[in-house]
Amino acid sequence: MVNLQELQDAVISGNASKAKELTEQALKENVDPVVIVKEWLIPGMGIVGDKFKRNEIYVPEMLIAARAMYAALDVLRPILAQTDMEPVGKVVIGTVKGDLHDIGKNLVKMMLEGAGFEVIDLGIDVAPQKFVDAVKENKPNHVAMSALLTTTMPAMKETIEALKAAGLRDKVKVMIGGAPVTDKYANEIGADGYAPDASSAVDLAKRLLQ
Amino acid sequence: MVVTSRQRFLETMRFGKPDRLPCMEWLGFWPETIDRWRNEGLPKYEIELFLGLDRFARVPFGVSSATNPLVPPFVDEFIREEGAFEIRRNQEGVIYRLFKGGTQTMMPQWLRYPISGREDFAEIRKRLNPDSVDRYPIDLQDFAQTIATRDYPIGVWAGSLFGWIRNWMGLEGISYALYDDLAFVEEMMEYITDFMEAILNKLLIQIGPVDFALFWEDMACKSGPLISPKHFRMLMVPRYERLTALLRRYGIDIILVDCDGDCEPLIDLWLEGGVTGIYPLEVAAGMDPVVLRKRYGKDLMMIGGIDKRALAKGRKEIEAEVIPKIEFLADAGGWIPSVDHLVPPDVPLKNYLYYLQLVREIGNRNRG
Repeated sequence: MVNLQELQDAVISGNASKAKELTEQALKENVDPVVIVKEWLIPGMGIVGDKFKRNEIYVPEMLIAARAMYAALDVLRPILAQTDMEPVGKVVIGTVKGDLHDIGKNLVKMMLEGAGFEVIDLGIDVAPQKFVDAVKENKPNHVAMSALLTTTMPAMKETIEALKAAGLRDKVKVMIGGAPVTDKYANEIGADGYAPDASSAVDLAKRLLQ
Repeated sequence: MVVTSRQRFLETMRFGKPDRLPCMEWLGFWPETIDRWRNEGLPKYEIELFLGLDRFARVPFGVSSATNPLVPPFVDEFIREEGAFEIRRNQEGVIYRLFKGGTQTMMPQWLRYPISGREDFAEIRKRLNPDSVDRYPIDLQDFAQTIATRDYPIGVWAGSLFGWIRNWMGLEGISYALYDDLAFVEEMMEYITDFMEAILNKLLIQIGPVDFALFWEDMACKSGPLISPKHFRMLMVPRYERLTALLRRYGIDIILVDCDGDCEPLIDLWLEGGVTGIYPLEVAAGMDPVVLRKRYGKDLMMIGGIDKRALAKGRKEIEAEVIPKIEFLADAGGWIPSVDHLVPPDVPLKNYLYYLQLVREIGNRNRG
């Protein structure tokens, strides 16, 4: 009989082939795919995030863990589509107007998905109006913005202003991050929170759901 | 007695008693910053002269830039347009997306890297020939004579064990490779180490002792290093030891590494590998030269640590950022004030001049 703790351990240690194999085995044994995701894969990535925050692991270990999780999810997706499993929350994410940097944004997206969020990725150089349109269309819980440069940070404020002008500011929580961004800056521009790294972004996204 | 920029630099970095704090901008200025300052009254002659900065230089041979050792470099070429963007390849062989007419401060989006597997390293290796004639001037002895009587410090590039590979593979590429093919990562680092040993031997035998050596890694982000200290110790420390031992044989005792982000967890390992100091101490990532000086004493040389964001604000913010750091660190020694990256274009000229005024006023106090 499949040992789901081994599956979680495979995700944490970044063993993608084992994660895939154990997931396939679990399905053959009729384990509920929702249980696999909610009770083993998501908590597994939570452990990965905690280890990252404690500097016990680093970006490579986080990446291989996520790769293992996606290997398991790829097996589960066709079956999950037939269930009524709801995401933990929905996040519209993007790098702000004028900024083409996407490494940090992609890591946040990956960890949010690992935590069970549905993530709508608008990509890079996202204009305020594009965030507004995505909020109207997808009705997310949160908008997450990234900026690498001091010169592109002001676009975060412009996006918040655009959400206000569209009457959407109170419909979403706004979270921001990026190399030059600080908690103080988040307060100055009226964002709901700032996260210094991908793992903390998951904590913030969960906290803002409450 | 006239004190030269070279004597001032060496005395400061060696925790001695310089006549005053050196006034240097170690990483320089973004071109857009200079453009802005031209409109704010910066004369058209050399900026360092106008600002009265202490001169320093890097040997432009062997490896002539921090980030790209490839000779010949890949052809910097336009590939195609994509709406508001253009797709280009840079001299490191990376294909990237940038705004049309985009400027250097705009970090591009990296699309494809020259190394995605072992077989791709052959193309890079061809461009890492330490004996390539294109790496050196016709007569290195002429250059040696030119710098023999210098009154400014000059240094050599010492290479990059992680940064270059990350540039060739991307962060994700090298991250996966550490687990999928660790031997390949080690093989590339070994090749780089051999390459740099050959370059440095060839250069330093002919041009004589220089004043400092610079590694470039940029291997940390805001939340910490990009690889684990375990990987660093296993892969990089032994190779740093080899290269720094070579530098010391040529009398170089100021060996610095360039690393943005929060690289504090790696400092002990760099020191173990024979590096003597770091720059530019990115404040937004939590790097604080005062804290580091208290922690490391005279074991760590430092350049930088002045928050570029404060310089973009006003006098009050500049004073709050600069005065306490200079007052403590100028006396403690082993530190040269400098902005914590290239000076960005949101810094007005008048703010930068005020920053320099503070460096001079406080850095000169009770000295000389």
